[in-house]
Amino acid sequence: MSNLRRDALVAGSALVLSAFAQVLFPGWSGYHSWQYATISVILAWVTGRYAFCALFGRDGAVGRGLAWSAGGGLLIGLAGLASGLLGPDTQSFVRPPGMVQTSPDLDLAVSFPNVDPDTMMLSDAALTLRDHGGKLWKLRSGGQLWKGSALIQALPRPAVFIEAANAKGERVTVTQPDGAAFLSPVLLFPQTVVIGGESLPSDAFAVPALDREVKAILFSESDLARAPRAPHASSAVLFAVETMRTQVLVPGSIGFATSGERVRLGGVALHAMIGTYPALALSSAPDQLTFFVGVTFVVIGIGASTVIRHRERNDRASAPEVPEYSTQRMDAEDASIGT
Amino acid sequence: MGSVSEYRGKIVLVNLWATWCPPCREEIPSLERLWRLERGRGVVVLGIDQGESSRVVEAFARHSGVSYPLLIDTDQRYGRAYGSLGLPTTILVDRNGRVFQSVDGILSFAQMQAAVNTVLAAAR
Repeated sequence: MSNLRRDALVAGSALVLSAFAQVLFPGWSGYHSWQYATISVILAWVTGRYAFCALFGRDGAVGRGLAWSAGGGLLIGLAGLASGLLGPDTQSFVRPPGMVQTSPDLDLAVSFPNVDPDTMMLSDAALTLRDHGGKLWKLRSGGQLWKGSALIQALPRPAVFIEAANAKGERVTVTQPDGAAFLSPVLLFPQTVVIGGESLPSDAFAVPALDREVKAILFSESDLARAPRAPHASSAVLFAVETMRTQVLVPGSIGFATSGERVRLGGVALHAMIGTYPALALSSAPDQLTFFVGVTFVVIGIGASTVIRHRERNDRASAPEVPEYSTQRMDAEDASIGT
Repeated sequence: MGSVSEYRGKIVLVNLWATWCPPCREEIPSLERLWRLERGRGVVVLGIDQGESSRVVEAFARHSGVSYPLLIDTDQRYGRAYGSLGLPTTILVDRNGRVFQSVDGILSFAQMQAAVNTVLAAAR
């Protein structure tokens, strides 16, 4: 194997992997850095140089086949480079159930689903994506879709479904006057508060029928382990209940509730169901069409070079053997025969 | 208590409300008047309570003399589906089930009737 071919093999593989990493591990800010761009350019130059030389026969017949692969790798690398240089940084959209987020760049409308507590607790909510032509995709929490030069992900975020009741156990309305959806009982914890040096997700909701405003702070298992008088659970919500009109903390109204537990605090019966709700994340990715054209070239090149190599081997095997010339000198007796 | 789909083919004025909401309570006499006046023309006034128990809603409806149909949206799905910014929210749906108009906040009887007349005129 020539040095030129070996270098191109290493550079081309690295180029393809670095571009594909944008799909496998999206959202890393390093893809948009000058270091990533510089390395991609160096790798592209090595790969491109081989493709050019091999195409004009500098690496034999096998090299001509491999030139296709190098060209494909170069195409993929350039798509990755363009995505890193020109694509936007990852954007996250945390939206409440029932909302629709449009993205004119992607020609998509993303619907955030209405959910019941069970769906949320099972982390089973799915985003619905619809393009201009009416084509639909369902994206479950944790799923991703590669469309054009974007990667769309449904990232599961901690969320809590709240039910509130009065002293008689009758259900009362939960509102979020400061939230994006006024009538949503789903808390998405867009803010954070610092408690004991730890930053914890926080949200708030109102129970207008009972003149109560409730602050909610979400604790993970490790947060609970550090907190005094906290329950042993995988997660829990710390509630603090104030009066809605006067914003005064109701005495004895601070307490934890684990998922599914009903607690009575500050005159409100609260039932918190902890689960996840998907957020939308948009990351740039190599253009899908260019990437797959590149992959096709790589496959064609590998296939062609394998066939050429195989043929060359067969040709060598079937060629007539070159007769061996004896180095023995004929002696005088043999030489005299027939004379 | 029923379903919105029962009213398919009619003009439906959906009113999202709750018993604790003062402007919602203020709007109820106008809704009741509209219901009595326009139901003969295929118009339905439909109150959808947001997140309260049926006992609270039934007691309130009896006390206030509400005769138009009421539904209870326990999970507050309608409010989210219609992107309600507050209560009351009124949504006028035409005979084909399309949202004709959505209004956040209190409406007068005259405003309700004008909106219904526009949909009725468009349907002719």
